[in-house]
Amino acid sequence: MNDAQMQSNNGGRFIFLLLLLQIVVNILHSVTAFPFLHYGMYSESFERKKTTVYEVWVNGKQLPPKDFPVLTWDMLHIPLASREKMTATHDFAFDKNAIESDMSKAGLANVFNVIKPNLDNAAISDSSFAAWYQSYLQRILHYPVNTLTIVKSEYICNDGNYVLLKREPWLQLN
Amino acid sequence: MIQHPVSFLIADSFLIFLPLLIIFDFLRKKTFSWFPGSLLPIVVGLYILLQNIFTQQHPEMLIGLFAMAFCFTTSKQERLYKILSVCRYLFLYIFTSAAIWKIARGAIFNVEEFSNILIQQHADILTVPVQTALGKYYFFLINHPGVSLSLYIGAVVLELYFIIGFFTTRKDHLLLALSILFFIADYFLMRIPFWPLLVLGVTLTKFINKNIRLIPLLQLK
Repeated sequence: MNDAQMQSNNGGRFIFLLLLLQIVVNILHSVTAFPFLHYGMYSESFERKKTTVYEVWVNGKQLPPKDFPVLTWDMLHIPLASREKMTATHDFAFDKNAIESDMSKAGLANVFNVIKPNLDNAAISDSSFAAWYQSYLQRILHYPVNTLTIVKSEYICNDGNYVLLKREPWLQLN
Repeated sequence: MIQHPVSFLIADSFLIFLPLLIIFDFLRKKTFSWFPGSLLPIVVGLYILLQNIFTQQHPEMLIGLFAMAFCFTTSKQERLYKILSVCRYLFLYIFTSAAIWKIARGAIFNVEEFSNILIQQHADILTVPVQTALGKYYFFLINHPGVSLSLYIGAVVLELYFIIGFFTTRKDHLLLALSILFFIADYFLMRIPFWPLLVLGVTLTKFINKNIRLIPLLQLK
């Protein structure tokens, strides 16, 4: 085997190893380690279930989602969904327990103890979150947010129509 | 970073000015230096992770920028084409694994799959009075699960076709066209802009793929 062939084999092996690592990360399902990410979005079997929508009312007017670029709209409503999830899951307790369990099995319990404080989100009150969200919105909208109301609505889609199940104020500022 | 907002400006400056520095360095020396070239993937990688933390948007659509940033770490042609080979395989893998996951998790066997996805994905714009043509089209797909599932299965077949790229480069021009079609369809059907991933599509062009290294075991003779 000459040098060129050896280089060719080494290059192929390197590429193969990277691919193998990517596949292993994917087989571990929900585990991702940048830059080895999971590309199975929208691959689970979706059942029809309740849908939650957050209405953002600024200065007495509802922000219309269709008027925002999709990534900008994501920046508006994802913090709300995340806040809700953080509260409902007691700061993602299940995920943290799963990480601790997996790391302990891998003999990395000491490493988990080191990173554990960084996994805990600081507990903040609803009023503090509302104040933060107000300043966050102002930076995105580029105008003052004097009054802010977030309304949480739940819908179910039946016969091609969204049927409102519940609508309640979720956050209020001023 | 939140307590020191100037750090945002520093991060943005690195991302904007580092490529300019690399270009200036290249024009001066007529070659890419490992420094500052090696900084670029580090800066891009960190920026993507920070962007993920602050905006909570998935980093998958930006992985192509990180992978291609490695191209600026070398001036040796052999090494460059190795990097481009990895980028090409990453692009193929993204599509192929997406298809395999949809099949393995049984999504393609769920008649109402895409209808239910659309219900969740577009709830914020469909729960207000709908006047746009696109909104009406979403309602049409939601109300006709057979049609929407056909689109979903069509996407899976398209994604699965990318597996051919592991064995030969002869179909690369077709794969590039299919990837553009997929991203356009994804944008209009799902409102997800995957455009940054197209940077990896460069590896499917004739200019690049004639020098691509295939994995010897898989290469079609």
